Amino acid sequence: MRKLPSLSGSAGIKSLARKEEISSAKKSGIAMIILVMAITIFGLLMLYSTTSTASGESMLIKQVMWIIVGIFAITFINLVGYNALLPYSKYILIITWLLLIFALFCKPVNGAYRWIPIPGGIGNIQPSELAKIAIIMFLAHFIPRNQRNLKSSFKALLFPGIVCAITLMLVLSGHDLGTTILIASVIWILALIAGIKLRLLLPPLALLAFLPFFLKYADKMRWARVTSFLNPEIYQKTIGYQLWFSLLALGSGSWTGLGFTNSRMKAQYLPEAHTDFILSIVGEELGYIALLLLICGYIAFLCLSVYISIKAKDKEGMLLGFGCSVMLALQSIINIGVVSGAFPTKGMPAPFVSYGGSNMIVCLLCAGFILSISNPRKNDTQEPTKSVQLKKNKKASRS
Amino acid sequence: MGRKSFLIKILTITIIIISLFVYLIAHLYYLQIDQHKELYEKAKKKYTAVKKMKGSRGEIYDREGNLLVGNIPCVDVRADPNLIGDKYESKKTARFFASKLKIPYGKLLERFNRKKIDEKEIHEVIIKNQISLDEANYLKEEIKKKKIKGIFFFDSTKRYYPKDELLSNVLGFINSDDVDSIPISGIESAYNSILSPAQSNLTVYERTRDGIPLSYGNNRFEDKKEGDNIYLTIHEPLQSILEEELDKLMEKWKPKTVYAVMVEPSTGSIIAMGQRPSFNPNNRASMDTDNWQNKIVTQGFEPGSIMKPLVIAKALDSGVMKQSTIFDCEKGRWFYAGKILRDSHPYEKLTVAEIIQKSSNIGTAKIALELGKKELYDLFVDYGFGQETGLPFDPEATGILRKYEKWDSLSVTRFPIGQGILTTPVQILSAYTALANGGVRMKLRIVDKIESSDNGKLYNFPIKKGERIFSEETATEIVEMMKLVTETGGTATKAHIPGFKVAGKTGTAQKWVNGEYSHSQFVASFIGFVPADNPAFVLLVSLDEPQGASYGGIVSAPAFAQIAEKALKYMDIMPTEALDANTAKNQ
Repeated sequence: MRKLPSLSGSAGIKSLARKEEISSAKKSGIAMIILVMAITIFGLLMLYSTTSTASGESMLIKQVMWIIVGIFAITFINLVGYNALLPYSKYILIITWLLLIFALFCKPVNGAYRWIPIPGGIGNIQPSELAKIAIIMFLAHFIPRNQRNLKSSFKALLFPGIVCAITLMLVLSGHDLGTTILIASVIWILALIAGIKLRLLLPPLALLAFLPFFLKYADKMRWARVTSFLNPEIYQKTIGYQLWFSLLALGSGSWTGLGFTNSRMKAQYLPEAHTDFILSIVGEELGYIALLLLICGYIAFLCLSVYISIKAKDKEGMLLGFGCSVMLALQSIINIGVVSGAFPTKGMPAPFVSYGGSNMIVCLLCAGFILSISNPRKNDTQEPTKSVQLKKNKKASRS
Repeated sequence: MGRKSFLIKILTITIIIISLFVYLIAHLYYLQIDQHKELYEKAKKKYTAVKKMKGSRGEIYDREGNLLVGNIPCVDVRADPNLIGDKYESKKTARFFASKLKIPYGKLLERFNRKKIDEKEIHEVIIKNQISLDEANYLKEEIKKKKIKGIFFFDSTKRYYPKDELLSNVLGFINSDDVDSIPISGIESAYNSILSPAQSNLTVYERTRDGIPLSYGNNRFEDKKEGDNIYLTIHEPLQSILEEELDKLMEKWKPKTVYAVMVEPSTGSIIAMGQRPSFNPNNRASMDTDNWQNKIVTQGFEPGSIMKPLVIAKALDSGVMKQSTIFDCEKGRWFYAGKILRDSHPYEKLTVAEIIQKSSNIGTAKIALELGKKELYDLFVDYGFGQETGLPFDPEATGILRKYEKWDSLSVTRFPIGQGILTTPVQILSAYTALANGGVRMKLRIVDKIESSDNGKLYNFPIKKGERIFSEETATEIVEMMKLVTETGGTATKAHIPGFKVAGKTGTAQKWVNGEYSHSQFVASFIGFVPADNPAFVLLVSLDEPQGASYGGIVSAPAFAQIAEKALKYMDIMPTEALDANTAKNQ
């Protein structure tokens, strides 16, 4: 297993080159956070446009409050560094599990057990959102420490496999299929990156391919619900209602839209116009061009954060960064796909744009981690993993 | 697994994700650009509503601006069957309104359960129109409590007749219980197009799902165009005086019908016009359809002796005789053309003036014979008999005046005494304006002006130029004769008003019943004007089949005096004559 420490390459290049690399990652980090700020501000404007006529500024103020909390979180992460936080990932994950279980006993909203009301009526906690970041943190911490075993022994996979399975089961039992799929995809991708053998990774994919057939014959109701996205106009009175009005909103927009604050569908036609379906309102008010720019923004975010992850100084940073960027990118894809009727399922907020405290904070946490990876603390107290350290020493002595 | 394969993995995943984004960009292009037109149209259908926004109907005032017909605000209750909810909710809502508004439950449920017609969603069904504001407020509270959805309240107005029975036959009424107001009779019907708010108020607006118009929507709210207001020539206070007297006449003589009309002779404006039995337009339940008509315009009658001064005036004017010409009245029985013509009292020789004073049929017939058939026919035409007056009451009767060639040999002796000729009370009044007005006949008018709802401008209904029928001198002569009627020795001394000279004429017409003139059923009339030499008004009082007495001089003349005296007082007209000794003593 000579070739093992593949990830430490970036850390092992000549110091000059390394400095350059770090500074370019730093620049990318700044660009990334500016981009996030821009998208967030855009989201606030859209939130105002969507909610102000019906409920004034109250939602806007709440959202700003959550963003401020998020900014504090970003600052905290960047002060202590991500490496200082990763060791706590298992506790965070356990808390998340407890919260997920607790949510099952809370009052369901629209038949889903996703929310824990915060006393005082400030809002709700959505533990499944927390699960997204918790599982990434856990894997980013766990994988580098057990990489060798993970690749060689099937047994070693059992523990992380069970942890992931429990998380997924808990999220799914809250009737949150979308988030389950999202988390599963991120886990799968991180496993692939970690070097888990394809023969182990393909069977779950096959299982996924089998799922539609299973639904079609076993659960006709859900099958109809899932396939209704193919023809929402027919189901516009029932299960296709939301999607059909979302399509009407988007279709109304054309190139430049009906104008800021001029959405018609927000006037009680489109439910969840300010949360999961806010991009429909963007498409209706500001048109195709605005959505195109937003998608470009998401792509740019993805590219910047993937670049930052590649340039991470350790494997933890790389996995954490890549996990976060892929998670956010997939979340935006699912969101856009759902509101535009390209994919089935529902209930996925648009990153940085949709209303909702839990999601906004988790998205900002992701951005905070990526920023922290782009700008690692010089005297990071975190001990690098052994293999990385060894390699580093070797290379350092060579130069 | 080197760094290279690791990078390849990362890049592959990134590229796959980016291509998913690209796919979505293409998908959105298809949705937003390619399908834009189709989807936008469908979207617009969802939030665009079309509604008739009606202004309120024009109001009706008297000449002085007293409100005769108005609108009171009320509320229309509607429902959107597509917002009410499922079958259970529909039942609950129907039960609620059935009990609160006393509407058949089944009818409501049927309306609520019908969600679409021909694939088009129904968004508005009537629950009940024109409920009071209080009732509406109560319902709104209850609906909130009971969590009933899809109910809308629209401001609306309800026709209101503040004076109840007063002038009801002139004003008429509308049936406004349903969606549209259907004018039934009177001014309401005749001037419906003026009173109605403009029909073109089709408003297109965009609304929230709850039906509230969007402030930023593509709305085309046309200004609610109110109907125009109408000012009548009627004087409401005088109308009250007149109708008060009608009620007394009804009670005293129990006639089939009684009516009275007061006209300003100088303009032809109708000042007051009433009839009994009548109806109260605010209380439909008690209404008798027989009483809707304005019989003064829509029904003909044989006027009887009140026709005489009209004929005699023209005869004087044509010069075939003088005021002092004496006619032999045949002691009350005159055999002519195979029939006997009688007077109520036998007279021998009477001057023309006395013929009027005593109301001699024989004398009048002989004057008419002097005049000749054609002259007689022409004068009837001049007075407007057999023609519409143009007053806006449908269906106006024109009476019957046949061409003189078709007259029989008796006609020339009977028509001048008001027998065998069918006229309407308003024709008589128009004819009498010539007597009161120095020989100029005025056309009658009842609408004074119209107030445009657009700009508040007043459009006068012009006073139509009068038509001279005979000379002023003749007029003076005939008025002098008619004064005698109400003085000692005349047929209508009871029409005398202290302090005033009253020119008038009684009429007691036998009714044509079963092919002959009845000796028990009469139309008793009195028509006169006062002050005789400068009349403020011409007033006709007429009773159809009074019980207990039949003569116009006994039945109608006192009522004339009652109305006229009060009217003169109200109009502030100073007595023209010294009060006679008796009255003076009393005062």
